Amino acid sequence: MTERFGPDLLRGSLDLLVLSLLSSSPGYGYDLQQRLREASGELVQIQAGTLYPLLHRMEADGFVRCRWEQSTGRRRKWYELTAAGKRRLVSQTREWDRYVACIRAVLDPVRTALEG
Amino acid sequence: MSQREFEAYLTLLSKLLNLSPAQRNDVADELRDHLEERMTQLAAEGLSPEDAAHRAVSELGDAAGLARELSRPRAALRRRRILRWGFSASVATAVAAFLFWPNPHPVAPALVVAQAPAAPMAGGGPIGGPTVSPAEKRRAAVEKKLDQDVKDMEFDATPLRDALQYLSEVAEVPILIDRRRIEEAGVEFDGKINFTVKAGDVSFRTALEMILSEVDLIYLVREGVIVVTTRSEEPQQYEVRVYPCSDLLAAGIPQVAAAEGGEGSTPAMAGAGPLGGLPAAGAAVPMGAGFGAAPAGAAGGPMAAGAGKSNGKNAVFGAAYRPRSTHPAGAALLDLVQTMTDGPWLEVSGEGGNLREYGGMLIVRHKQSVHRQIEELLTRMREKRAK
Repeated sequence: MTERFGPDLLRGSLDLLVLSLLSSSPGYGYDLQQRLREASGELVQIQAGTLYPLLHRMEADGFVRCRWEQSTGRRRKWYELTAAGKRRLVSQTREWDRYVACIRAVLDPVRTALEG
Repeated sequence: MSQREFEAYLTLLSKLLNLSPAQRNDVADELRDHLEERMTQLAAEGLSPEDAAHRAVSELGDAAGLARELSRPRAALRRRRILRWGFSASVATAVAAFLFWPNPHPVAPALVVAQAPAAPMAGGGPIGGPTVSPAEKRRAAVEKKLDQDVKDMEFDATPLRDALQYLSEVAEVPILIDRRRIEEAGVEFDGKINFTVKAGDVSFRTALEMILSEVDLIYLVREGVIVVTTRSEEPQQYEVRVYPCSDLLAAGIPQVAAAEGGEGSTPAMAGAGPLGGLPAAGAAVPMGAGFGAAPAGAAGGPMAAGAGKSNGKNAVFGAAYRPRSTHPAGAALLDLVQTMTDGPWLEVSGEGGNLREYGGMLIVRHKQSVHRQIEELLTRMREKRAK
């Protein structure tokens, strides 16, 4: 089994990952946690203690909105992306791509040395 | 068993959250849902219910740390939106100052001069022109901000507190919530406000009044601060304000009154008002003729005659009743104000606010809502006259 990513590496990208999950369909906390685990091939496991504050922060920022449902007999809080959240996802994705390309370029000599 | 462990954790966490009761409840419900889901999953993977519950709780981590993290977004939102009254020492001072504000009833409050268009003070008047106290300047600044056009505003099931915070931010006026009295009155701070206006539809004042009327609250202007409180607070908050009115008095009140009332005939209007027993407002001219002969401020003579006419209605005051006005058109102005505002007026119903005209100034002791009506009435009269 491949090693999971370290928390330092993940910190800056969790927002983006959660936004991308919500762009395909609304979700509630536990559901998003599981979906992220599956989507990442078990490599990304976000802690509940990290996920809920993150969701609340995105709600306060207006990137997601919530609604409550009672169908399970318990109150369940569902999150969905707002228009601002969609814009955020697009801009963050672009930024992330540029970042990855940049890091890749910087690391090229290291990679060559390792392979060579 | 699991429920007990969950509830112990959620209770502790709730206590540590720096959020409103309703928000704390929401957080607990959300995390309870998570814990139940997680426990079901772990039990399906073969853990005993006890172990599953314990593991689910421990995965959430330390309650204090999570509570801190969950309180942060809301706190940031509040910081962005308003002056944070609730959490600083200055607030405690402000609240204390408000709660122990001297009740103006037993002592005559300091005379304040109402904000009014610069009207020439005919003859200077015995008070010697308007002196504006610092407190009054602060009040006038707030009133002015309240008269601004609103920006686009959309409250969709927004908690009252957030709505007020938003208003406070965009109108740039501090809004202090008289939490204790409102809670005693059983008004829910997280009660949902639905209110939408477009920029320029109404003034901030109207928006604030409309929002507060949804929850049966009112606002008072305390120097530079708006205080949101219960209706029961209002009658106790009498203030004296002085409105320079020489310009209106010089122009003659009856004509303006007829135009404002839209009744066509002034006597009919006065008759319809609570001052039916008085000579009609139109009679101000004959009364004025009498007054004109006497020096302003003198008692007796025509003045006494004027008061005598009033006494026909205001028997409650008996012999102690003093002249109500010094300007020829003063009495008509007083009658007009009493007719066109909500009151109650001492002269009319034996209780409520009181008013005098003195040297071209209208002096009124009443609650803020009535003062606001008077300001509006005088403004409209001036507008009509300017046309």
